[in-house]
Amino acid sequence: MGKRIKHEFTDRSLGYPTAPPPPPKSVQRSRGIFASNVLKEEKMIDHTEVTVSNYKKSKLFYENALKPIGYKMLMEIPKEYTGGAGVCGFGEPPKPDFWISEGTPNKPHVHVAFRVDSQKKVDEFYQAAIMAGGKDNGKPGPRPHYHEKYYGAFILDPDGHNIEAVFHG
Amino acid sequence: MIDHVEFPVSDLKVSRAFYEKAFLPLGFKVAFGQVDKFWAFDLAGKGLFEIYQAKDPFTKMHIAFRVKSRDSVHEFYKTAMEAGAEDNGLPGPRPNYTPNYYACFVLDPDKHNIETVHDKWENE
Repeated sequence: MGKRIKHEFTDRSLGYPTAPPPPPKSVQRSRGIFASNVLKEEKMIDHTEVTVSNYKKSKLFYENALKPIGYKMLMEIPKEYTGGAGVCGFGEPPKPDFWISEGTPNKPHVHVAFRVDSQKKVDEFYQAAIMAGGKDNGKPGPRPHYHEKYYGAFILDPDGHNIEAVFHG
Repeated sequence: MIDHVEFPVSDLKVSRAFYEKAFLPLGFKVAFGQVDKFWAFDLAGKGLFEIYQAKDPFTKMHIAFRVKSRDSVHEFYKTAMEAGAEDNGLPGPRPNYTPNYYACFVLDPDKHNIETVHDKWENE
């Protein structure tokens, strides 16, 4: 329990041996440049999923940890449809976008970041996740190496999945 | 909303090439990254999809991208298949998920399950 990711740079990635370089200035400025010729929907990632070893424990963890960012458990799939595994989806009502399913946890652990609209919500996410039993994986604060207004916090869920809340300023 | 997700891949060059082709109809392009480490695709300013070079075996993951129309689901499927994806569910309705759910599923070069979905929800 409480395993830390091995390398020094624990914040964000399971794959980076060192901090990734900051994106070039042109990229920082260009965030959203593609928006003009594509989709109008608010979200691009409709949903994703992580596998958890203890469904009840993780469900409770995420209910509490994600509460400050406006997420609720919105849908639970009856076990007769899942082969007996616990499966539920969290999100901002009405639609879930983050699913947990019971099984052998993903290896390496998954990294998912949630976008929030203030530093305060990043701080509140962190507090709530710690209170819910999450392990610190990067305290709330600026991460200027990502981009100059990046403000994030990182938590390990009960299985060690690396969960982040980020405010882009 | 989900801001970004990272997927491990066994061959970063192969996967980058795959996603660059498969994402053409969606307009997602590499925004930044590091050779042999990772690449981040900008999801039209609404998030990032990142792939990183894995060192060890990894679990298959699932992600769904939201698209603007049913036609976009078909376009993505066609392009992804041309890019070398494996079919994992033809474009079509999935009313067992939600009444208006319309999606397709493909497996990327590492068999990650990639979906595009068009759906209509109340209040959206």
